[in-house]
Amino acid sequence: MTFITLAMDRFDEIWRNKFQQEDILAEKWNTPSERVWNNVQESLSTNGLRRRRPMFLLIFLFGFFILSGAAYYFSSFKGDSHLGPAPNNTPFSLHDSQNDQKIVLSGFPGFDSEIETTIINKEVEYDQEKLAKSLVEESEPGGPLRTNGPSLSDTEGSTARINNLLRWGIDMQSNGINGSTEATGMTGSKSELTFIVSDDIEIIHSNLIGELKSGFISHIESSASITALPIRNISYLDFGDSGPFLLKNFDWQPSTFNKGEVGSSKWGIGVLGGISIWDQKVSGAYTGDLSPFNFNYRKRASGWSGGIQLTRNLNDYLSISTALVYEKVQGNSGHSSSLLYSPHEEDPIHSNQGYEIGIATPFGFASAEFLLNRKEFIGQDPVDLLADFESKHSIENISIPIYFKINPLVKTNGINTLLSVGMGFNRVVSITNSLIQVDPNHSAFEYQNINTRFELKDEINLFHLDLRLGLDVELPIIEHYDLSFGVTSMFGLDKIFDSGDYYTRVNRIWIQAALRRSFGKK
Amino acid sequence: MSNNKLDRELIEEILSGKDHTFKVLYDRYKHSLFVLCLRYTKDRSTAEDYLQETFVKIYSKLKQYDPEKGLFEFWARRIAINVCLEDIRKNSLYTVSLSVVEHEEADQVDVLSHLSTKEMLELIQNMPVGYKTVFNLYVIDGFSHKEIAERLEIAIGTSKSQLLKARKYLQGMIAKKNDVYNASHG
Repeated sequence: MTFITLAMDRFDEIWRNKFQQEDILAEKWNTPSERVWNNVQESLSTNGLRRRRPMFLLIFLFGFFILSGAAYYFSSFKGDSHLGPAPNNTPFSLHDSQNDQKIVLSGFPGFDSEIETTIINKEVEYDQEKLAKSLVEESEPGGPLRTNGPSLSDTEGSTARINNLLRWGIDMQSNGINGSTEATGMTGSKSELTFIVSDDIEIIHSNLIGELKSGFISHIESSASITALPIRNISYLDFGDSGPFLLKNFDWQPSTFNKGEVGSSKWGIGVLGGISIWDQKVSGAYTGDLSPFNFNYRKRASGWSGGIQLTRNLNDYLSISTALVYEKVQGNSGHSSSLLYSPHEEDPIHSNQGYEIGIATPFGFASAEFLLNRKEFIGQDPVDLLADFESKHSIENISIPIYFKINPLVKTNGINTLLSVGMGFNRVVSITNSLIQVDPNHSAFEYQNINTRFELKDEINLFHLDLRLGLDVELPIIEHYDLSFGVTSMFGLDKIFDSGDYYTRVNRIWIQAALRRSFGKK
Repeated sequence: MSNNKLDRELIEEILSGKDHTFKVLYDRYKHSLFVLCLRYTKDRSTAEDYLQETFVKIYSKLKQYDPEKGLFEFWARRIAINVCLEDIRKNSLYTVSLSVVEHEEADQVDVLSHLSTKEMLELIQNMPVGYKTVFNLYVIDGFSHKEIAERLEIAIGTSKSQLLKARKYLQGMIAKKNDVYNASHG
């Protein structure tokens, strides 16, 4: 028997030596063809290997820029310069030292009075898109004017895009009104002035005396003077028969009415919380190499998230938002691995053997220490075990996202629907792995937990970026408070676990509710 | 000049961005790794595919190589073995043969020691896939039966029996070779 074994060892040794010799002479039979190197070279240069970016990133970036462009478009409607001050028009000074805090309405049939104004309210109520459209359609070039104001005859080919519509309620108190009963009738009443604002054009209308009147005001300088430019009847505004009016010698009060306040601006601060789902994308090389060990993992880790958010409305279409969000999720993984129980190495008092091994997780290998207690006599020979390991990993992450939130729809019953697009800056606080169970698949042994929770640090990218798309619905609750529900999908740009071919990316989903308080003036 | 550099120096150069140095590494190990691939498949074209994938993986994993843990060649061999096994598993080429191939037991060690590498390779290549894989892994590449069982997803006992049969098969083939040799040389 010994002879046979020795002969067999010698037999194996000859094979081993033959094929493991360091220098194998280059001969034709053991030389690969040129195509091998050519293909290797091609793979290295075309695949980029270390620099390849997934297609979804390109798609997402495309979407990001489209939405950003849309956001910019909605937020910065610029009036067409062709509709600027008419050449024949006389600019009116905004600042009239002799008529401080007073406006004089003129060009208004039967009405010419000085009225002290106080801006008491402002809100957006009109369908801006429809209004803008009607303005473009109705402003026919060269059309006749019905007032003593300047002509639109030089605005041929003009178009106007309107980006805002603000209405000021004005507490009107007559001050030396000269004129008609209509004027007298409005003394002391509250009425409204509505400004349609673009960067270089403002339209003003008033429903004074029960009629809706409108007019353009074109800026010449943003804070120095304006040109009042009456316009033709605008059917959408129900211009009526009286024609437009001019507003002149308007007292420009930067503290109460300036261009900076024309755009809606509103702050909001709130708390948010909800469900966080991590979709773990583990590389095929990693799972492939671990597949002999029956490596499996739950692709989705889930948990909760919570934080605070800060929002600023840039206008009615666009707001910018940031937050500080903490999230904690958990996932499971398991695999089999061999263990050798050596009776010679066991603790003679407790009849057990300690192990320290690496447990495979979607984020690399985590250490684990445990004991196998021997319950039965197994003799003196080592026992080969094929044990099943089950562990759970816990991830803590802090995220600072920046979103642009776009409101493409008309507010319905105060409910806002917002599309958000943005980017998240993330910092992994920790990834820890805890061994839950070891099944040695042998009745003589029993698993005992001793220290199974270890943090994964190697090959973990603590900082990672993501791109985000979201949909939110905002519901007003009480004054200044609103509740929002949203879903945000995050596409991970960076590998969280990165070890060459072995890596894990994460896409995430947040389903969150937020309570927000608004403050500041529009 | 790169040809005289140590593996470690070459690897440092590649990692620092000098990709062209990878060719030197390729030329240095293409023969030995090709022979390794040929041990796992009889088909030369398939072996070249294995070799190609091996070098692509070596390049992409190069930063993981730790010289403190062993020679580059051993590390590269492991990668090549993984590539071969992955394909064998994927294509279900590995089947456990239950038929026992009986051959005369003889002391063929002397005969064996006079065979060339190419002749021995041909003997391995002509074995059934199951025998060949286990024999390569255990005898030449130094895996334990437990490791083989895990990698091939078979029982340890199966690995042992396949090895036994592989040895017997080879012994039979060597005996035949020896008979032919003796007959031709009187």
